[in-house]
Amino acid sequence: MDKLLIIALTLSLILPLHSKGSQEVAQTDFKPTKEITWYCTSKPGGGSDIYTRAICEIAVQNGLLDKAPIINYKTDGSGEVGRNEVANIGQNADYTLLTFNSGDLMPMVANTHNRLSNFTPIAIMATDKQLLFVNPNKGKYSTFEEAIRAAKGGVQIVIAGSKGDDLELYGMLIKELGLRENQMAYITNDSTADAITSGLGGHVDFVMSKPAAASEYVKAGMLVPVLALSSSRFAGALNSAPTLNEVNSMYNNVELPVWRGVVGPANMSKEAAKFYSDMLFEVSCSIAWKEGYLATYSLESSFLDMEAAKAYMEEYQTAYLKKIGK
Amino acid sequence: MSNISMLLNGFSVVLTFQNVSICLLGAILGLIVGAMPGIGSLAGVALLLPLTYKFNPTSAIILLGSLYYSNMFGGSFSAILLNIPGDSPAVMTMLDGYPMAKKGRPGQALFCANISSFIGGAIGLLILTFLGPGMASFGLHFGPQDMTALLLVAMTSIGYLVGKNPIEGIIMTLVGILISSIGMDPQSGAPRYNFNNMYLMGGIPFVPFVIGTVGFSQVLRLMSERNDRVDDEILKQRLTIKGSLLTRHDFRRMLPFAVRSGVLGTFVGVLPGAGATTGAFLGYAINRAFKSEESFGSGAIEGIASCEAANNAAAAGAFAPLLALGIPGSGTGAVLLGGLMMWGLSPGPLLFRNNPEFAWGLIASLFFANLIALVIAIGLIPFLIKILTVPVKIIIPVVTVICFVGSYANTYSMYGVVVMFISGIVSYICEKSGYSTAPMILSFVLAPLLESNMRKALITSQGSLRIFFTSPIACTFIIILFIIISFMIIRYFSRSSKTTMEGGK
Amino acid sequence: MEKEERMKGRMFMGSIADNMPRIIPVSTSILALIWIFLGIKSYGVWDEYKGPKSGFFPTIIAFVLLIVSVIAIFTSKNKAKPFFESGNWLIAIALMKMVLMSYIFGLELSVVAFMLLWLRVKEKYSWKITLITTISVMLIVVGVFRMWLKIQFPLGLIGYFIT
Repeated sequence: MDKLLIIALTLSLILPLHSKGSQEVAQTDFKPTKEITWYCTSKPGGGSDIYTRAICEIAVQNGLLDKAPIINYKTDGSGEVGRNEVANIGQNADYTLLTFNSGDLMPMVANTHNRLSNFTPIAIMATDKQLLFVNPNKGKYSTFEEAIRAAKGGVQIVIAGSKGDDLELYGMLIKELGLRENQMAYITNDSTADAITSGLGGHVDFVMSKPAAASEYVKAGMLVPVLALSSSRFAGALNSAPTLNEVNSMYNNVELPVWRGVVGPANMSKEAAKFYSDMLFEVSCSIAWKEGYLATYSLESSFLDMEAAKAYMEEYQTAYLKKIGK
Repeated sequence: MSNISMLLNGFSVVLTFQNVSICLLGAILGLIVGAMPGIGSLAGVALLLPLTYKFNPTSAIILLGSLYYSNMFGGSFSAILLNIPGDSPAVMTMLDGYPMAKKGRPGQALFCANISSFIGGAIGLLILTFLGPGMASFGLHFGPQDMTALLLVAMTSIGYLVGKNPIEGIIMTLVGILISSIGMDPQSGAPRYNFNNMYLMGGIPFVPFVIGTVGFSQVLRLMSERNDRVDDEILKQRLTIKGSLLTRHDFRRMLPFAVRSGVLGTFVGVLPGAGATTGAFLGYAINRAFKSEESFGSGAIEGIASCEAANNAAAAGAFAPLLALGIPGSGTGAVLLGGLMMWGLSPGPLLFRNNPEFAWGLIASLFFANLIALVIAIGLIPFLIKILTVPVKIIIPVVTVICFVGSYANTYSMYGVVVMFISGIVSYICEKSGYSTAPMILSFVLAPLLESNMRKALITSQGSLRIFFTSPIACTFIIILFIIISFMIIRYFSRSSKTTMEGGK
Repeated sequence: MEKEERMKGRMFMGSIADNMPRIIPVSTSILALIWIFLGIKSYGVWDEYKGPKSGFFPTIIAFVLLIVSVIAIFTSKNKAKPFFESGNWLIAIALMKMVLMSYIFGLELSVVAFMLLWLRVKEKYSWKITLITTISVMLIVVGVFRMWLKIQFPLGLIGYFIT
């Protein structure tokens, strides 16, 4: 019985790999004729979701796509199952896209054997950075400097944030401050929304978030930015938050720019990848993208086409693998 | 402007011909999605989202809201009739619903489930209308230590299922927790207990696990009853709407349970990360303490009312943080939230202020959806109970196919089918050997929430357990927990000493 | 000879069934040991600075499970012995065949074949009932799951060649 199951499972893994090949030769110019499935490995409502939806909407509005892609949320196993699925997709490789950012790449290469080589990089669209926020009504500290002093004096500081890149950045932050995990603790949440919830309830001292997820709360006066995790201050409403070096010149600025990109499966045809890369370029040039997305959510534009994105992502992967000693 | 006039305003938005028909459509789709094992409201809402691009935001949210809402009604259908829960809150409904259907009262079981869903939903929506924003900030007061204590209370509902075989029950409870620990560790973001398997890294998916544990293992059991004849006489009498109506006595029995659960469920729905499933479990656990005519778990109408009212109320309660603060209480809430942004609205603390007609239109449409779902669901009862007259010989292959397709659809892969198959066979063997699997399912659902909250609490307290007693909310729940546990122990020993005394005579 | 062997097989199966009240707690205690071992060795229980680690909660639970399982092993003697009817496994085998078939013929065709074979050959129903049941099931599978909910069922090897 077990043997049969093993055979069945193996078959299910092998079969999709052989499906392509024959189709790759014929096409010269690609234009999508079927529905596109766009994988998003984060929860709806989060930063990746907003990003994915913004692209889809602009692409349809500007006539770059006839039909809005179907967004498929695959959050199982912190997204690894979804990424693996895209990596091994057999049919429809030309109609499968995946929202992929550095926060996806890091846990993927750390925890699984899945590597960038299983994907076709299509573009990098923007970079995003984090800030620390405080709840002005319930927070004990109104500046980050007070918190550093308190931590060094033996009071535990608690930061809430999301998984992936947030967790990585937290590690960099306490290292720079010379603190241990018990002095400045970090609570990992499933999503930034959950972290903000605990901040609004006053259960943690600081909330780590990218501008997008926190913007409405800043507008409503429920969160106040206190530290820009960046080499320079943010623009607009977030301008009041100093960088770490401005807080105390003893420390260097800490940042972990999160690039947001799009990839396809490795066996996506070159024509299709070119089509999507061009499409995304058009999107990134549109006013709706610049004003409706980048400015609203305080992201930096940083478009890279498929070749440049491939080089950039590969370099990033190599550096990260080296850092974690793999 | 008072909340009532805002709500009436909302009704005037909803009650146009177009919006009423959209609401009707949403309710019907929701019932179907809910009744299909393997597909939850999340999938239903996510799939319909692209369709709503062309609608105006209010109509779009009415469609999604009514779908989400009536989905809660549909989940109980297959739980009661086939012993396969359509969605996770329906697991609790199954405990009393299926035995009640077996006792020859399937119509009443469905009727009770529907009417309690309606009552729970109505209570939840009323509370939402009057206390909405205030309720949302109430939810914020619950920190990880408070959630931990609350979940421990919810977990005691398992104790009642353990029943006659406490040791076997405890073993299955703990096994459920261990199985749920497979996959990504939520705190460190690293995989654990996955034995280097990619699929296990994603954890054991709940729906295929339940379909196997309950549905497929039951098919295996039914194989022995293949040649039993359906007792036509009992069923024929009750196959009409009239035969499935609740008697006044039934109604009196269930009403207090439904009302209590409705209030309780609403507040559970508001809490961060709790949702309808926890609501159903807590409703069941707390209502156990009250006197019921039949004992819970043996097909008691009170049991059905307790969980169905609670889960619908929780679904309503979850809208409070969603609308007032922009915090999604569940995956489905999150998709709705995504929808809001797509239509150019900014969900968040300012939604009620900036887009009142939208927010109140949504609440009004939920009231409306609640009513429509009730009417449709009750109209369906006579058709649904016909399923019970289908001979076991035909039920076996049909349910097998549903288990197969449902578990595939849930994971979009054969992984779900493999999980379903293995858990089905293991559960069949366990059940036959006196190890009831119900405690395993419940602990499987609650354990991950419990663990992540407990660890968050311990990180903030630097490992000290004092945090569970210094917070007033947590402390209250811990006291309730001790009362429930000592009550259970006393009852267990008094019962066993009674039986030994009787045995001695 | 053959009969004897079959008898032996039956007795073997029977003794597994008879011992089931003991086999289950033994397997759960093995499960607990694996969880404790991995929890302590690979995932860690407590970090001086970080607090509870990945193995913390599962290891505690596994310890309790181990204790309760051991109690269950010692009290398993007086438990009722379960009886498994060998015919019941037929549906499990049929399901497995249906799953394997779907790798070749795709899910829908396999379901049709399973329904037809089971109802017509195994249960000996008339063609009328067989067809009505099969068609109703396919309405759900194709109509609801595939067409409306857009679930992509496996097409199998044959499907690959066709598309």
